[in-house]
Amino acid sequence: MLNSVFRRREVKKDIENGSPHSFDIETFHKEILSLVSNSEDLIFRIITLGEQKLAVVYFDDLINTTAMQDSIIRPLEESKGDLNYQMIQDTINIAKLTQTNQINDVVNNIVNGTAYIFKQGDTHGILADVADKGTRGLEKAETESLVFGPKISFTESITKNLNLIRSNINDPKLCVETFMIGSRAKKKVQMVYIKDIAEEENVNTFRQRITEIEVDSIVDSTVLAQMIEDNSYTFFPQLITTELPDRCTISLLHGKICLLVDRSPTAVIGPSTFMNFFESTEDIYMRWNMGTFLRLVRFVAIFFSILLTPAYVAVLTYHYEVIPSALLVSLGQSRSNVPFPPFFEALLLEFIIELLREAGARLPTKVGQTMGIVGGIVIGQASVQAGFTSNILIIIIAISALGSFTAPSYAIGTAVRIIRFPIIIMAGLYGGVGIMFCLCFILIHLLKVTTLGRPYLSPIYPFRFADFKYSLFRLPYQYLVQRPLSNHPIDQGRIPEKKAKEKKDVDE
Amino acid sequence: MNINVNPKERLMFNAFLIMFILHTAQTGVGIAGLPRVIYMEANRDAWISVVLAGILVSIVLYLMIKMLETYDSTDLYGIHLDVYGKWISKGFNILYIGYYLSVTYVILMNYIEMVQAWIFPKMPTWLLMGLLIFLMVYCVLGGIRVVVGIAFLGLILAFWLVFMIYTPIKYMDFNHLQPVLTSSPKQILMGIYKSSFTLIGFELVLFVYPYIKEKKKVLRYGLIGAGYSTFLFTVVTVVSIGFFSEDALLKTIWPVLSMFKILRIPNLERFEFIAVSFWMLVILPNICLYFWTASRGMKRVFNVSQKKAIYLFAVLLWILSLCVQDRITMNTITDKVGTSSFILSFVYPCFLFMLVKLKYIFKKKKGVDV
Amino acid sequence: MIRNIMLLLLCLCTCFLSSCVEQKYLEKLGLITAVGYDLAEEEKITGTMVLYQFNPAMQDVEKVLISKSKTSKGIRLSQNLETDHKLVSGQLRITVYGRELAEKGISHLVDTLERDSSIGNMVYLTIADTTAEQILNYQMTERPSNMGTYLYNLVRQNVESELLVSPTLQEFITDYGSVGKDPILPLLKASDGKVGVDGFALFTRDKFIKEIKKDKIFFIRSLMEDYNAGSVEVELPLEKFEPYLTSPHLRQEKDKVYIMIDSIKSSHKIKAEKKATPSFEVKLKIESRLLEMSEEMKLSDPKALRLLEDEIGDYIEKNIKEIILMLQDEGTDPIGFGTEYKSIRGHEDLSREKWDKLYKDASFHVKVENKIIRTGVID
Repeated sequence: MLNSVFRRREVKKDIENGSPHSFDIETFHKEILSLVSNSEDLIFRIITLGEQKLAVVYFDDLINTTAMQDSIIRPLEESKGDLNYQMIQDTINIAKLTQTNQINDVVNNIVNGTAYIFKQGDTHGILADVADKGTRGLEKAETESLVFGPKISFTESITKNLNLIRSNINDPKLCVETFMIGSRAKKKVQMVYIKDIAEEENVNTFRQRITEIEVDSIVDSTVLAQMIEDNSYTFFPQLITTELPDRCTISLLHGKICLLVDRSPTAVIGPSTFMNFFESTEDIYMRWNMGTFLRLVRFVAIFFSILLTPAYVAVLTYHYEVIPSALLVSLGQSRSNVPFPPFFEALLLEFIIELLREAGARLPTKVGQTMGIVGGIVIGQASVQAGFTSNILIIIIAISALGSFTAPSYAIGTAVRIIRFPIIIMAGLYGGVGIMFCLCFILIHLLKVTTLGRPYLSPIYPFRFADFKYSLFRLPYQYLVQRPLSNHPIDQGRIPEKKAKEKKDVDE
Repeated sequence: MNINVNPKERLMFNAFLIMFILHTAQTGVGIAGLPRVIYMEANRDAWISVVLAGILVSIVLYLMIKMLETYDSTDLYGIHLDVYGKWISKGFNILYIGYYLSVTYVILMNYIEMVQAWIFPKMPTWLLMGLLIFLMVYCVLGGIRVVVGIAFLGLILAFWLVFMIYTPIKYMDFNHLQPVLTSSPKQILMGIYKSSFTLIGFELVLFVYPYIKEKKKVLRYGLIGAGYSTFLFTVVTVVSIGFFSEDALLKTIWPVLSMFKILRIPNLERFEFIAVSFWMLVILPNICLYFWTASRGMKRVFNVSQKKAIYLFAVLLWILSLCVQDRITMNTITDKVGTSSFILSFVYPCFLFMLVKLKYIFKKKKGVDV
Repeated sequence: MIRNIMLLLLCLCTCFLSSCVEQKYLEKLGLITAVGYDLAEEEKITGTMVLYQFNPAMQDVEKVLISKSKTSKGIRLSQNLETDHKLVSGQLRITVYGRELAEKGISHLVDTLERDSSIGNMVYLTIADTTAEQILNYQMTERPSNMGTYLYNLVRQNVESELLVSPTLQEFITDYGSVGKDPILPLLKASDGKVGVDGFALFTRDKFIKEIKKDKIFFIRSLMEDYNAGSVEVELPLEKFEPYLTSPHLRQEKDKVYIMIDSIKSSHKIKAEKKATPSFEVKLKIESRLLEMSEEMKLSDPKALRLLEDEIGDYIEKNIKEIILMLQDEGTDPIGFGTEYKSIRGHEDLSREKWDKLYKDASFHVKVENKIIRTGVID
């Protein structure tokens, strides 16, 4: 008895493959209705021309009404003579037409916004693409903001996204492969790469992983990224998600592969190494010295963001000898006001900052600004006055939080924020030795992560000095003759070497 | 068991990484105490002992690589099999596996003693041992690529410690080193013998040789790595002798760390606390390399899965740390391992080299195994 | 799966093991910044400790504790019973030894400083003119926040201005452990509402034997370390400069002119010669700037300048000779002639007793070369 209560219900999937639909319109109507669960927004329009009956089947809310009326219904109504599917094909003014007679083809296409036109008694029908899915116009990027450079972002329509990429790279060698993924809600996934730059093996791995996914539905491209990545246990992401088309463009030209998913405004770029997450498109648009400076500032900021709070906890709990005389009195006096040990104090403040950040992301914009100011300033000030925390710790926590926000990719910023907590815990338990233990652990872990089979810490290990000028710092364009080696590109040269290095004598 | 090892393409690494492997295998916990040990034997000519020991290391390294080059792609376990046959080679291989395990143990215990003396007197040995063994197991489970990666990154991240020697150099008194060459040859030889335990690590080339891509360049990079280690040790010894007085150097157990005591970088008064914590990154490649060698031996010789061997050895080392509590026992164990290290790393490979050359004096090169 | 469970258990275990390492919260500690030792009756030592105590309620951060015991760490234990903060010596900056205690020898007290891993090696050692207790307890007219920090900054600032020989623990241990070099430490004096360095204490091994005045330190320090910006006051007889005085009718009846030279860059060289009785050649090269003169002179005349240079050089040479002879008489060798002698081939096995005897018979040749580079912004 219990068995029947908790057993999962089995649902019969009732689409058979490979059978044509019935050629009688009435039966066909019934078949289609049953396959779309008798939804009432399915329109089954019958056009009678003399003795011929034409059925036009479509979902009312998915099509462009003007195109439907002007380009399909009117030419059909005004057509004379005997129609068969080939004549229909010539009469309708729609660009994309396919012929079919399979019932599941018809259903799969109707739910994507095509109209099916079928003459009673004919062998095949015509599928006409009049889809008009809801989408936004081109807008500014919201999660990744830049000072310099193009600012448009991807939208939810995959055709528009591909439009942006192809407009940026009008190389005929740009190759697009389409997959339909998902068994219940099929989504269109497109893999974009430049054929003679991207490495064969990477493309094959991507293709194999995508086609091997067996899943109900993929909601967003980030979900797809999580499914095809190498190691799902780690904190560190292995594929970059971005909503900037120029970031895609730059990566494609370096030999990476881009994945677009329908209805998702983020593109997935892979394989991405650890250093790729710290490159922002601004470094490339700025001149090389500013780009290098920005990158170094970023690395230093992330380094301090991870280490500053644990160092504070470790020094104040175990290693008081390290404090210089000048800071001794101020640190000691401010600490003596606080009832908790430094470990709890630090964790508490970190938690409050995370609360602020999370709440700020969820609040509606009208309330968000005020709450941010209240949270940041008032809570900070008040807690110091109340003797809840010390003011030095507030400065340290603020610097760490700011440092973690300098990461150009949101995913890696979150990863950095999260790994700070175990390091604080270890610092509170074992002091300097604990911090070192955590750092060694993170180092070994980073060495083990692979992105799409490639080592994660390229170009540091395996050591490719030539790639340093792309990831760690930037050099003037005369020196960027070859593409980065880490992606094993097939076509390596970018600027003809002789021209890049022509030197002129004085006053010549 | 095969004589030759032909690993997969993706496990092999570039030859220049041998520099990092040899250097990090040699520089571990011994460098902190090295000057005192040799000073006790050779007085103010201790640095000459170190230089001579370094030259000896280079010679033995050369012989080892020449021995490896007579085969296609083998390691020490394979050479034993080739020279001695099946059963005796098993005995020698077990000896080496046990030796490397004990070296790992000694390094770990010495580091823990350093931490207990300088920072945390109350920290139990088994606790820190557990943490370090956890790191070591996690690293070695990733295979040779991760171990070599740790050697590379470990050296690069710890490189700045070398520059910290600038301040003691300012306080050095060159009179302590003069007059030169006053010790008797016997003293210098004893100095070389004593420094052997610190300088071992270069024989790991015998075990990582199959994984190197460009086998012709191994000699060059190996000599550079070992040479840099010798240079570093010599500089440390010279500065220690110049910095400390005779009585002080005989009493200071870890001269390098005591020299760090006078460093004052802006905003941090006492640098040695940071240095001792950071030393973990210096010994980590050390213990990972030895541990990998020992567990790889189990796989090669007895066909035990390497994972099982790793877990087994880890638990064994951890339990052993509970047995030894005081300094005196630890010193005795260290001395015994030191003696055996001289034989197993310096003397025995030369002997083996001669055996191999004798065997192949009439036959041609041994190619790929059937 | 099982591996993940084991990993989780391991992590949980580490959380419970937090009591295995000793915690030292900063605000619960009494940080000792200065410590002083004096002789007490019955072979005991009196210890005076100056410490920081952090307390949000109290205004005063500093506290001074005094007690007696047989060993220095024993003093700390008995003082721990008198305070609500745990006493730790990791932030120790300066140690003061009383005069009587120093005359008996301080090596055992210094040894414990070195053995303790929490005490750094850059701790300053000083000798008190009277007792350490009096110096550390002295109420100055301007009260500093902490006597220990005040004394530490006093010594440090003067070492950086090159007015003192650096008296760190590291140097004391090195000197004490070498054959042929004796330590030299500053002497602190408390009077007239201030505490300052009043002279220097000369040691034989670890016993304090004689003090010298603070104006003589230049002649010793110039033979120990090179100067980068030193200064010294020079006293010269006036008659030789008569032809060069600018305003002769203004001068009063004086027979000495006082000159101050500074920005001294000096380099010294001591060479020992290979003889049975040690004989040393001491060379000192000075480049200086003339900053102050008690009489005005025509410095634009090169002959005047040359005469000044030579006279100053002679004055320094004379003083150095006097000081070396005085050091030889007392049997103390802070300059390190012994180490120089030991570095010659054949003498490397010099023992302390042997050097004591040889030092008495040593002969010294001193030569000073002085050059005046600038005379300030006026002539």
